[in-house]
Amino acid sequence: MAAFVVRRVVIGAITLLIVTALAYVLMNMAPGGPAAIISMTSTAAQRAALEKLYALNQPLPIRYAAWLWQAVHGSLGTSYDFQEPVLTVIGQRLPNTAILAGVALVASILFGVPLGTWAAVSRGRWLDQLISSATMLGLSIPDFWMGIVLVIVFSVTLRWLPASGMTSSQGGGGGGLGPHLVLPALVLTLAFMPNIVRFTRSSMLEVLHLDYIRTAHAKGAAGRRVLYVHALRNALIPVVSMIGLLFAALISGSAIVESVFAWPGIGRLAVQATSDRDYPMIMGVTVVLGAIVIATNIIVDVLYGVLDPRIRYE
Amino acid sequence: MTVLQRRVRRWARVLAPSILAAATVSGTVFAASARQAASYDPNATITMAINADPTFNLWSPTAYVESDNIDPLIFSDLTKFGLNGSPAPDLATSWSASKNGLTWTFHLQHGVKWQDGQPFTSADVVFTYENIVLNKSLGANQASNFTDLTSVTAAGPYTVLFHLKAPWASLPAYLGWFAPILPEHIFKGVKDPWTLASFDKQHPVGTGPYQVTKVVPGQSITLTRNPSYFGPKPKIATIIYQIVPQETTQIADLISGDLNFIEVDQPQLVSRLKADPSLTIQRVPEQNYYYMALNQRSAPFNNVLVRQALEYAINRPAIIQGLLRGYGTVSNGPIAPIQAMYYDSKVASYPYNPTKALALLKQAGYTKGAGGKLYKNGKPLTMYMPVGQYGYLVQAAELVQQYWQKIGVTVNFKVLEWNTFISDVIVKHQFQGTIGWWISPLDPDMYPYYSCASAATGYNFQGSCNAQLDKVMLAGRETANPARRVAIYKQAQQLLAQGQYLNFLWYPQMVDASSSNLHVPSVNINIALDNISLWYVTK
Repeated sequence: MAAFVVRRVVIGAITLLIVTALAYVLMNMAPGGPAAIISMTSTAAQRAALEKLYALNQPLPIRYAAWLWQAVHGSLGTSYDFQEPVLTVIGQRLPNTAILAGVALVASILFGVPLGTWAAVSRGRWLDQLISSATMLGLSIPDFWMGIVLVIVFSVTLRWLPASGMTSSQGGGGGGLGPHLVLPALVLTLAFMPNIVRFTRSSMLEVLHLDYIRTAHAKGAAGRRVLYVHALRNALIPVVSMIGLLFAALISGSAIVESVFAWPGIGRLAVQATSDRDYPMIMGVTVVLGAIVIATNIIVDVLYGVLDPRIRYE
Repeated sequence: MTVLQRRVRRWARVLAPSILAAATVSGTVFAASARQAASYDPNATITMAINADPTFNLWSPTAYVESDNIDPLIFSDLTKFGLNGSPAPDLATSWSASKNGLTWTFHLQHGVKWQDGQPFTSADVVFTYENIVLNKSLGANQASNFTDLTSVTAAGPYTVLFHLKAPWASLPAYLGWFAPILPEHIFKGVKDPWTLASFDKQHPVGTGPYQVTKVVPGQSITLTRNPSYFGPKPKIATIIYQIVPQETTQIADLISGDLNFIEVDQPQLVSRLKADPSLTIQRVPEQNYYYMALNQRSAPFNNVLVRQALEYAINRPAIIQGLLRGYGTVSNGPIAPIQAMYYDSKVASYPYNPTKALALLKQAGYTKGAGGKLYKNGKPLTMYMPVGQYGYLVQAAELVQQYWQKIGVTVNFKVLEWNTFISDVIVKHQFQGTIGWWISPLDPDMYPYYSCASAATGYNFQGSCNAQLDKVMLAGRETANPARRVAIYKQAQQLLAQGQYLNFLWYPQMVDASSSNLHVPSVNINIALDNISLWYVTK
């Protein structure tokens, strides 16, 4: 097991390295330049001076090597837009996204797993049809539209909840984190829960047809015991691995929700950095998010082995 | 007495008391508003919005538009803009130019303290301009406004001298245009002022009416009244800036009460706000103008007949009505009507006339051929038009494209992401036509935007060059005599309208929306913030 983990970590590090190289190249291939250097009123002299200040007039491989050297020594450079260390800014924003993504993930699991189970159990009947249609709807509706509609209903019209931000000092709905969390977390949950519902449903359906379930029924076990003790536990194993992928998608997919709700998270930071061509920040976000995705997948794979005794890592 | 005379006498008897009553009422209203100002809430807190984390140091190249709406409250410039848009004293109490116009003397306020308690002196002004603005290797924001400034020296602790290499009558105006004075005692010895995050992002120290008391990164900045401010005491105790990137979210926040003031620059969003009784909507004239820019470095747009024809082909009032919902007026030059002293309304105005457009194009050698398109020597009149995605630029440019296609021009439209647009069009001049806007202080000097000298490396990205216009614009910079300036700039406006070096479109009107208990002067946001002591909240 330990050897497995070590191997995966090494492969993960190499993957991250390739990702950063690719990102660096793509980033510099994009037309335009850092907003800190070019603007409507920048003159040629100003641009030249700033390019020199940010060392952008050196060839690409040298710049990448310099960045990599710095990164390996624990620094991700200074952001052009913020003029603060990239790690500092990411450190301020990442917890905010983690809160949002965490709440959405927990809610998605709490509601998604039971819904998927009920759909599987009542397969073909009205409950299954209802849940499947609702799932389809949730997957099809774009989250930015849903976000704006919820703001119109709950903030502008009913004044029950605040329209934006993480905390505020005045206005409708109160100032604390809780009221501010409701709408963005709701949008993210409605966007990602359908995946868990569908996956749980199909996984349960597969398991419910297996021989050992029939054996359990034949032994005289209660229906509920068969469902929850025997079927669900095994059906959840693939779902756990799905949750790993989902968590990564949540962290990066929060960009849209964070923009609509002015949530100060890493998704919004990444979008802003990209349109401003804030090269150090783009690379910093790539490294941090890449590391999170890789780490999550390693953890999920290890968990998979723990949950399913048939899987053993040599 | 005739019937008519009797009728007039009767109406006079009715009207006179009405007029008297109206005068009394308006007198009472004026008195009431003065009393209202007197009955303001001195501990009020208001919340405004900016769309990203600001940089408190406005000279930093990363101080984008979000910084422009907060930094003027924390810092003072040498001058600021009065309600009429003219430069007024701020850190400088008075100023004058030498006879040859090359040396300006500014007398500074005595007894001003920085927000950390240190005294303000001429050393701070000298440091700001010599070490930051004029230091070419730093590439300071707006430094390109000061190309004629060679040095700044002190003549005692409360007098500074600005030395120019050519006379520049607009110096006082530009010294108040996002040109804050920075504290020497904090920046002395700092090698890279742009990375001094403790000042630029967390604890700025200025001499302005408000100081920063709390920064929550990504979320909000709290400003409170500066107790040792040297100017008129602001009536509002606390101003909180929330970071709200999208305008639609800002509007939702305003309606739900989380924000007290926003500028609405997308006209189609205004109607929802007008219907809300808890909001006050004000139209304010802006000091910018929109234009179509034609690249005059090569044919066919270096031909004035073609540019004039294309101006006749655009129905500007229709676009203002349809796209801007009426929030704008037709522009025929860079000086807006709010610059009342200089604005000349009697210049060539190019009312919508496609027939005249075609006649001018015929003079230039273009006639309609196959498919209704214009041809010259068998080649069609085509235009590559890249447009940056920002505000309503794309929609406006599409409408102009349609008008031009109607008279036979083949316009190849391309939407570019904003950063790419700046790089391709403004920096590399890879365009034939595009749309944009310019904003500058309420000063008539337009030399940096149209001079031959600034065609290669300055703001004149359309590459226009006219020797006579250059001479007139330079003369305008050189003379400080107001009557002479008015005459010179009248001539400049006539030449600009005649030559269509930019195809002028409109002066937009901004809409300011505020909670109904917040009273803000009815001027654009730059001037309003410079006069923050006039804002108040009624109880």
